[in-house]
Amino acid sequence: MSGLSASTNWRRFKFGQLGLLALFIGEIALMSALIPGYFSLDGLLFASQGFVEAGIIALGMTLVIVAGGLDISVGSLLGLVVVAVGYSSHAGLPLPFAMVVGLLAGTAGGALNGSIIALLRMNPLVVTLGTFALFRGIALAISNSLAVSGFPEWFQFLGQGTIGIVPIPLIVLVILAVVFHILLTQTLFGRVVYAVGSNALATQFSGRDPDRIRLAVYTLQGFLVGVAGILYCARVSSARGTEGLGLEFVVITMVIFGGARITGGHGSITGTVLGGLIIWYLQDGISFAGIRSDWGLVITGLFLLAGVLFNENRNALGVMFGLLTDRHQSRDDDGSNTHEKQEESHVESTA
Amino acid sequence: MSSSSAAVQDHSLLKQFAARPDFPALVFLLVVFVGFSLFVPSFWSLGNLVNTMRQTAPIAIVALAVNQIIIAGEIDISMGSMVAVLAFIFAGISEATGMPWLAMAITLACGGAFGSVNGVLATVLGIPAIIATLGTLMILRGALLIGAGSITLYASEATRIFGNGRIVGVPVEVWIFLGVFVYFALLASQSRYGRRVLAVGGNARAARDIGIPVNAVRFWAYVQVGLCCALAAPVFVGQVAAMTANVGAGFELKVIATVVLGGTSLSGGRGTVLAPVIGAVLLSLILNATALVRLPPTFESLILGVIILISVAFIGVRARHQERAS
Repeated sequence: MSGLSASTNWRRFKFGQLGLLALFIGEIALMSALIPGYFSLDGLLFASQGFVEAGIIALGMTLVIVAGGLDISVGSLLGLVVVAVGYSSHAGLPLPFAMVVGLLAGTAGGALNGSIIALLRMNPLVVTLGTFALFRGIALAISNSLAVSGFPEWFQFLGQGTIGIVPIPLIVLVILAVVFHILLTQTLFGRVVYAVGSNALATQFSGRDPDRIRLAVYTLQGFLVGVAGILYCARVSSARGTEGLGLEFVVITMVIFGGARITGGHGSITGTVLGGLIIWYLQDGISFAGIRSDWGLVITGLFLLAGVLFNENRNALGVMFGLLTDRHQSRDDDGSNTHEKQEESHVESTA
Repeated sequence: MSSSSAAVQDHSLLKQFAARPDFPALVFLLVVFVGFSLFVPSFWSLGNLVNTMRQTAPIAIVALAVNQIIIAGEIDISMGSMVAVLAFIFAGISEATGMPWLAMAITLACGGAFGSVNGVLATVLGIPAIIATLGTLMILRGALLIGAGSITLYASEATRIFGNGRIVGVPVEVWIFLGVFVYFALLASQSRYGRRVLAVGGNARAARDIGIPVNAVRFWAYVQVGLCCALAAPVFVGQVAAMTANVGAGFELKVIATVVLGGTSLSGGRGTVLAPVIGAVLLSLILNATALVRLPPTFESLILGVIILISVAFIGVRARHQERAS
């Protein structure tokens, strides 16, 4: 059984992530061919700067969405983290401690989201809409719309420096991505996160508390926003309460384009990273070519819709190409897919 | 004997009233209103109340339609971009032709078309509602930034009639709001469609099994949001003297907050027509009072967040209590 499920996993991977990988390579190749002077390893690595913060937050968002949740407060929380770091260091706290304050602020914000959602069983969209306003409000109230700047050299190096030709924030992202990939695929915790997103009630009956998992994923998300906030603060070397406006939509787009389902139970770190890279380098190429960057917004929207459409009908397409002959799907009224159930029964029948 | 039975009936009527989803919001609104009348100077003046109503109008107009779509178990988050694009369409046509009514008609057609696109994406193509409308949010905003990113639009007097004039002493936007409210009130209480919305939001599969065209019901809910955005856009143009392509950013979240504050559940199948109105008035009153007591505007978001979370906590505790009681 395990062998079989591993091979189906591999086939899913082949169809999903390899497709994204091919799309990413194709995108870079196409832009390098069309835009003179675009392709250089240094340039591409340097361009990752603008992607890293959203990418780190997208790792946590993957967990949240896989567990059947959603968090639209991440942009506001990033603003709060940046203000927490900037103003505590401005008030005389040594910068390393100020960074800890930022991490704590992020983690506490995530834990607040998680505990309200888990304890009160409220819709995550409503709860994080509330904290979306709350976090931004606290950030603005503290900073009073002023900016703090003048950070020491070593702190700026954290956000702007490179080791060899690789920017430090990118290294942080890669390490975190590997850790979260292992967490989601190789640990019991990861399996339960998928289980909660597919069927929370069944998870509860099998003796795992879905509320504890929810609390954990939102808290992890908050922690990652803390890390991203510190890197952001170091990169732009200023702190103001308006940072991260609209970031939540960018991050959700990355995760969904990477193959996660908003209804929960599906998604992967590799998919999210690839989806994020595709969307980021598309915008990077557009602005490099000197085209109005607003086109990036339109194309990202189109990509999102096309990606989801492809994803929703992936199995139907698979049947068409003979790649996945043992399944096909139809959409239910309540938006869930019979696909999961079929997969479960498939596993049962072979057990 | 008869008096005791009347008392029992009274009791059950009161209970029924208290079980309405918008009941806590209504009580809260009353408390806020009385509290502000007593403690906030110059709150209880006609000018201030009319101003509050004017501010509330555009949000309330759109919130009435979004309320319906949430009751139907779907969601739309593209309202901010739709209102912005429609405002530019309206102002552009009205300025070019000098005929605001013609511009209004074309804007309504465009709003209906935008709503239809959302409806097709979410029903025919089966893309989850929040993702489909996130896509249109980005596409519409991007298109507007490309087309009008460098423009600051100053509307003339004629163009601003829908948000700057009065009919029988009442601001035009309040009339528009009243019209939309009557439409939705009749829709909810008198029409087959209103009952079908509740059925689809409550249990889509059961609704389909008894022969309700589920996708058609959902589709019309999206079109309604587009149309209401088209009605709110000229009000925006009238109220805001100078407009840039960033107008209405974050509007969608304000509208959803309004609906939720009024007591409509995001899980669908439960909600009243009054909910968005209560929510919108509540929101405006509180923001209005904070301005009157001279809190800096940076506190606005903080207060909004606290109110939403308190109402969320209240609804959550109440739902658990009712669950236990039944």
